[in-house]
Amino acid sequence: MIPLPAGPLLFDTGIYIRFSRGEDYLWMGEDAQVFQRTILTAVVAAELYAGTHDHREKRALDELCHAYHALGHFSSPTAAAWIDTGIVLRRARSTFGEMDFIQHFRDLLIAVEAVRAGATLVTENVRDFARSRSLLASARKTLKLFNPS
Amino acid sequence: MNAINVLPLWGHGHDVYNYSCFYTLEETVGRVVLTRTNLMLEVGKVRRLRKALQSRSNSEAVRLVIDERLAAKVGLQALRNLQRLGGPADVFGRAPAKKA
Repeated sequence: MIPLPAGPLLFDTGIYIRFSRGEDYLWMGEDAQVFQRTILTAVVAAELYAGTHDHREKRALDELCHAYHALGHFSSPTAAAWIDTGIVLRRARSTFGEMDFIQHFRDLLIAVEAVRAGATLVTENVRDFARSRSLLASARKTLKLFNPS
Repeated sequence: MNAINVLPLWGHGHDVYNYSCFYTLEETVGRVVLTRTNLMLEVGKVRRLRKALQSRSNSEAVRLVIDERLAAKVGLQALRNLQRLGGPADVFGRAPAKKA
């Protein structure tokens, strides 16, 4: 197992998917200490729900969300977070020009959730989130990123 | 026990699986029965735990740790279940296949 950063962690959707496929990060299903310092955001949960194949997978996700709720580690973007995301994206549009707003909107929401929770965002897509980091830096918010792969 | 599990709707003309979720209602969760019990504990450690967690009492601190550990156990089981089932599809392209 790769050493993870200290403090709260927020796993990107890709980490859960890669674990679910049995491709990597198998410690996720074993390490209670890591689980207890993990935040699940509703944005990631929604992306996982969107990919469920049947009611059994949906139920497993329900149980996962329930466990995070019980820990007090389930977060969802507040109204202010949604609006902040829109404002930052508007700033990005004027800086970078046209971009894939649908993808970046979700990325930024996940990033904002990580910042709000004071968590390190654990993702393989560091390059994509690096743009979110620079956008958030312009709003004086620090996004901590970690690539476990 | 009055735990309310909402039954799935399939078999009643619904083919999809977006039935009401299985969450237990909050008011049911909130109804906690506490029982005084006799445990052998290191009191100094319990006090330290209480301070660390900023709990109102030693009992609350111990209850909190028990709740956290049990929630983690449920969460880890849910993750393993997801893995056993193959896991959700990557509909947003978050985990593309790795190059060999």
